[in-house]
Amino acid sequence: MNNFLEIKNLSIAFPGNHLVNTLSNFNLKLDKNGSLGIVGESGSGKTLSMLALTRLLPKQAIVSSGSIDFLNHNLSEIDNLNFYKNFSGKKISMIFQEPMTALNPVYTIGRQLMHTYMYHNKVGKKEAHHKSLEMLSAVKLSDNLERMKQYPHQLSGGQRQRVMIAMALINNPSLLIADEPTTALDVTVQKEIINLIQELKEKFGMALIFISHDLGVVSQVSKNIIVMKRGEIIETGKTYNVLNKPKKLYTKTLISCLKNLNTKHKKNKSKKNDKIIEVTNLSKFYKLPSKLFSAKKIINAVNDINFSVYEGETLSIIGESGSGKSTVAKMLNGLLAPDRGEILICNKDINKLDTKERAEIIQPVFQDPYSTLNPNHTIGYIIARPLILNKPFLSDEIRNLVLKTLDLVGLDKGFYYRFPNQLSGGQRQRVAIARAIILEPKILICDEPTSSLDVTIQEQILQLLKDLKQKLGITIILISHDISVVKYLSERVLVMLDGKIVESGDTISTLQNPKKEYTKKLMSAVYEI
Amino acid sequence: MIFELFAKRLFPQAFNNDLSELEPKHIFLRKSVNHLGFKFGLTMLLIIIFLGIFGPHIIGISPYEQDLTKRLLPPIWVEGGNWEHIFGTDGNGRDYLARILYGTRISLTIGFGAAFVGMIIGISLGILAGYFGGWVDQLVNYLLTCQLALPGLLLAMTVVFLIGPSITVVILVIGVLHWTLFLVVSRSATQRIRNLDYVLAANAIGASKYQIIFSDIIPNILNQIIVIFTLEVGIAILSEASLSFLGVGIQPPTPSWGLLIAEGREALFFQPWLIILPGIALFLLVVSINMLGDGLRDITDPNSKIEIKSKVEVPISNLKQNINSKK
Amino acid sequence: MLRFIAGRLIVVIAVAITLSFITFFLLNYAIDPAQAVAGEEALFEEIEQVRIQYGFDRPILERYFEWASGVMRGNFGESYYWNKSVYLLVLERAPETITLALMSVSVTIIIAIPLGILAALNPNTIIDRFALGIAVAAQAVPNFWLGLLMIILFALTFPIFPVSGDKTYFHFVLPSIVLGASSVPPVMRLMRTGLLDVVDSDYIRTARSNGFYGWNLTINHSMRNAVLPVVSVLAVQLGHKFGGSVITESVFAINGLGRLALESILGTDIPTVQILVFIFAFMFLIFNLFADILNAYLDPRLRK
Repeated sequence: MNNFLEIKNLSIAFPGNHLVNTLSNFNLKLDKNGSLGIVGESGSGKTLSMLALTRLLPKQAIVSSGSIDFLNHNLSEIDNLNFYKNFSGKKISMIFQEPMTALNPVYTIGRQLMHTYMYHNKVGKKEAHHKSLEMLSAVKLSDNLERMKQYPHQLSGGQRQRVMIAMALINNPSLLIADEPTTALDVTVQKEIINLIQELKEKFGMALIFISHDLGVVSQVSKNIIVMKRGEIIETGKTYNVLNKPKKLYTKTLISCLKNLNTKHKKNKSKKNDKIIEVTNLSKFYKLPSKLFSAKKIINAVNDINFSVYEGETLSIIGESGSGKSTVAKMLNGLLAPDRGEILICNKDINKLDTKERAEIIQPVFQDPYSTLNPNHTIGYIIARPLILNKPFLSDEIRNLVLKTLDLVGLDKGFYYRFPNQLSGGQRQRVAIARAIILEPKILICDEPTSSLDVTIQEQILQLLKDLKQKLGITIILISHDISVVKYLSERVLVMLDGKIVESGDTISTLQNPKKEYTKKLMSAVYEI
Repeated sequence: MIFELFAKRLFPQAFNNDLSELEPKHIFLRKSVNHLGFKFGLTMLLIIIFLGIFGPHIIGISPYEQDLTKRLLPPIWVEGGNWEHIFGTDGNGRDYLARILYGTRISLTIGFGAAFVGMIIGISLGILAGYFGGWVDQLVNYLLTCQLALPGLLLAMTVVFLIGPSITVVILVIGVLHWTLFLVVSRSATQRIRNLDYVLAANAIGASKYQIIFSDIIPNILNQIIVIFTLEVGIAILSEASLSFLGVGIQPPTPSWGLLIAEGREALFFQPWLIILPGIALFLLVVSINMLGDGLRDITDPNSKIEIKSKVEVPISNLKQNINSKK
Repeated sequence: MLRFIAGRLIVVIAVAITLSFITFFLLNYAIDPAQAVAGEEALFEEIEQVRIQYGFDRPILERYFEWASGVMRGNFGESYYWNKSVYLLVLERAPETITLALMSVSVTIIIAIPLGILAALNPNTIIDRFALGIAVAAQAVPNFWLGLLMIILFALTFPIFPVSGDKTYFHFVLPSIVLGASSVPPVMRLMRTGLLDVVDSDYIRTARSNGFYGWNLTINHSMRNAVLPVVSVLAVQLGHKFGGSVITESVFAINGLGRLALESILGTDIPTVQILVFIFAFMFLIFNLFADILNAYLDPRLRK
C-alpha cells in the first residue's frame, strides 16, 4: 500500500461567518499514479480540501481537525518555509479555473516560466530558457520561441491555460491538482485541454486530482470519484461503480439529472405552423476602437445570415464564444440594431416597432441570475413593472396578475415583498421568467438561461420552460453552448460559427449525424456519462 | 454602544433574522452597527452640528460683541484666564468660544451647500456621459480635463475677489470647481450598470431611457454618490477655510474659522491659541465627516469583508494551529 | 507610440487654449483693465486716455489673439503692478516653486509608499489602522494651519529649520512637508488598495502555488503590478503642486509663483494672473500626459 497521499478527517471552518461553507470529515486516499475526480455543485467544498493541501486557504479559514500525509511526510508538521521551498510547485502543483487572470500581466510568458524553474532548481538562465521551450512544446503551443517573448494578454484563453499547465509541470511534480481547468473554456477547447492533461499525466508519471462540477467530464478523466455536497462526502469509490450503481440518493439525483437531459428523445413531429420570425441577410459589425497604435479593426459578429422560426416551436442556436449567437439574440429582441438585413416578427420589422408593442411580442431571459434583477426593487414590483409601463390596469388587477404569474413559475406568493438578495439563483431565474411572460409575449428568447445554475436546479428550470411552453403555447428561442440542454428542449437547431450559420435542421438528426466538419467537432467534444 | 441600542429598538427585524433573509436596508444597519469608524464619525458629527446650532444660544454670548478692554485674554487653561471667557478673547475683545461655535454654522452651510452644487453638476454630466456614450462622453471628457487643469484655488480667489465675497458666491464658486469626483464616479458606475442584465430587461419590457435612468441607474449608484458627497463636504469646508484665510473668502466680522486663523496670525507666538483652537475645530469637523464617509463606503461596498456577527456559532473543538498561516 | 502622443498633445493644446481664453475673458470683463493700469485715484479722462493708449477699446477677441500670438513668440506681456515684463517675473520666481514641488513630491513618496505597502501586507492589524489613521488625519488638517503650527513649533521649541524665506534648501524642508502632506492620503490609499488587490489576484495565487512566498513574492511578483497606478497619480500630483503652492508659499514667505499669483490677484494685475493661470494649467496637462505615457510604457497591455 503506497502511502502516496492520504487525507484523514479534514475539517475546515470559517469562524464568525457561518454563511461560508465548511468542510467536515474529509477523507481521501490516492496512489502514486492514481487519478481521482472530486465532483460537486457550488458550495460543496470540493476545492477547499485541495486548498488546504496546497496551503492556499484564505486567511479566515481555520483547519479544525485532520491530517494530511504526503509521500510519508506528515504535512501538518512541516512549517511554511519548508513547504514552499520543497513541496509547493515542486512536488505538488495546482492549476485553476480562470485562465484569463491566472498569469501575471506585466511579465512575459518566458520570464514567468523561467523564473518558476530557476526558483526550484539551481540552474542558469540558458538552461531555464531551454527547459521552458521544451515545456511549451509539451503543451502543444506553436511558435514557442515567439511565445516566450509574448505577454499573457496576447494569448487566447485556451493558450493561457496551456501556459499554466506548462508552469505547473515544469518542475516535474508527483501530484497535479486541476481545479475546474476547463469550465471557463469553449467546448472544443475543453476537449483539447483535457486530452492534453491526460497525456501529460502518463508522460510525466503523475497522480491527478481533477475537480469539477461536470460529472460527464470527471467520469472520462478519473478512475476513482468522490461526490460531495455541502462540505461532506456523499459517496466515493471507483467511477464505474459509483456511476452505474449509485448508493446514495444525492448521487442518484445528480446522475438522473444528467441522464434526463441526454435521453434520446422521440422525434417530435412539429406541425409546420406559420413562420413567426423571418430573418434575412442579417449582419452586425463591431469596430474595435483603435488601440493606441494599431489601425481600427472590424469584426463581423454576425455575417449575413438567414433563418426562420415557426410558431410554437423551440429553436436552439448553438455555438461557442464569438460565434455571434448572443448578438443574434440581442438583435431579435430589438435591443441591438442590425447593420444590415431585416428581422420580421409577425410580419413587422422589429426595429420599427414602438417599444411597448415590441414588449408584447418578444421578451428575453438572461443568463446571470445575479444581475438580471434590480437589487432595489421588490419581486412584486419587478414582475408588475411590465404591466405598469404598458397597461392601464388598476393596482388590484396588477396584483392579481402578479400573484398568478408567481404561481405559474412555481414561487410561493410570499415572495411578493421580498428583495432579490433574499432569493437563491434558481428562484431569481424563475422571477426573471415570470417578468418575461406576464405580458403574454409570443416569443421568449432565452440566452443561456441555466448556464450559471447548479445541475439539479438547471433541470428544474428547464422543466419549467417546457411546462410553460405547453401551457401557453409560446415560441422559444434558446441560445446555448450546452448540447444536453439543447437536446432536452428544442425541436430544431442552428449551429453558428464566426457569425455564420454552419448547419441547421431538426435536433435529433443534426446532432446525431452531423454533416459539417464543425458540427462534428462540436459533438465529439461532448462528454456523456 | 448607545447606537446599537437605538438601532435595535427601531428596527428589530434587522437583528433577529438570518443574514440571507434580510432586506437591503436591514443589512446596512447590521453592518453599520459593527463599524467603529462609522459610529464614531456619525456621533462626532452630530455633536458638532448640535453645538453649531444651539451652542451660541446655550452660552448666551454674541460673537460680534467687542470689548476693547478685554482684548487677547487667554483661555481658561492658560495662566490669566477666567470662566467668563472660556476660550479667551481675540484682538477685538470678542469671546472666542462664541466665535468658534458660530463658525460651525459657516463651515457646515458652505460645506454642504458647495458639495450639493458640485453633486448636481457632476452627476448630471456623469450619468449623461455614462449612459449615452459616444460624442456626449467625449465632450464631457473634454470638460473634465479642462476642469482638472484649472488651478482651482487661483480661480476661486479671482472670482470671489472680483464678484464680491458673500456666502452664496463662495458656495457657488467652490461648488462649480468641485464636481470632478462626482462626475468620474457616476460616469463609471453608470457605464457599469448600463450593461447589466436588469437594465437590458427594463428596455425589453418597454421602459423609456429616462425611466431607466431614474428607476434603475440612479438608485443603484446612490450609495457611491453619498460616499463621495461626504468626502466633498470635507473638501469644501477646507476650501472655504483656505479662501477665508487668504482674505478672499468670508469677510470679517463673520467668524469663519479660516478667517479666525488669519486674524490670529499676527499674534502667532504670543497668543497661539487664536490659531490652534479654530484649527482643531476644522480638524474635528472634517475628520468626523471623513470617517463617516469612509464608514459608508465600507458598509455599502458589496465586496467588503465586514463581518456580521450571526446568531449561530460554528462549534469548533480542538482548534489546532492553523496549518495555513500567513503568506 | 507616436500616434498616441500626438493625439494627446492635441488635447493638451486644445484645453490650454480653451482655459486661457476663458481666463482672459473672465479677467478682462470683471476688471476694467484701463482702470487697473491707471490706478485707483485716476480721473475719468485719464482712464479713457489709458484705454486708447493701450488698445483696451478693441474687441476682446482681437486682444486675445494678440496676447496668444505674443505668448507663442515668447512675449508674456508687461506687468503694470510690478513694473516688469511678466517673463522676467516668472523667470525669477519659477525656481523656488519648482524646488518646492519636487521636494514635496519626494516627501509624499517617502511617507506614503512605505506606509501603503506595510498596511497592505498587514491588513486589519494595528499597522494598517495606524496608516489609515494617518491618512484620515492628514486629509482633515487644513494645510495653512499645519504650516502655522510648524512655524510655532520650529521657531519656538525646536529651532532646527528656518520658518520663513527661501534662501537655502533648509528653508524648503518645512514647506515641503506641509505641501507634501496633502498628497499623502490619496497616494497611500492607492498604494494600499492596489497592493491589496494584487495580493488577492489570481496570478499571485498561481505564484504561491508555484512555491513563491514572503518578500520575494511581494517584490518580484506584486509590486510591479501594484505600483502602476501609483506612478501616474504621483505624476499628476506633481502637476498639481504648481497651482497648489499658493498657500504654502504665502505662509512660509517663499517667493515663488504661487505667492506671485496671490499678490497679483490682490493687485488686479491682469497680465501676470493671465500668464500664471496658463502656466499652472499647462504644467498640469503636461504632467498628466507624462503620466499617461509612463503608464503605457510600464503596462504591456496598453502597448501594441
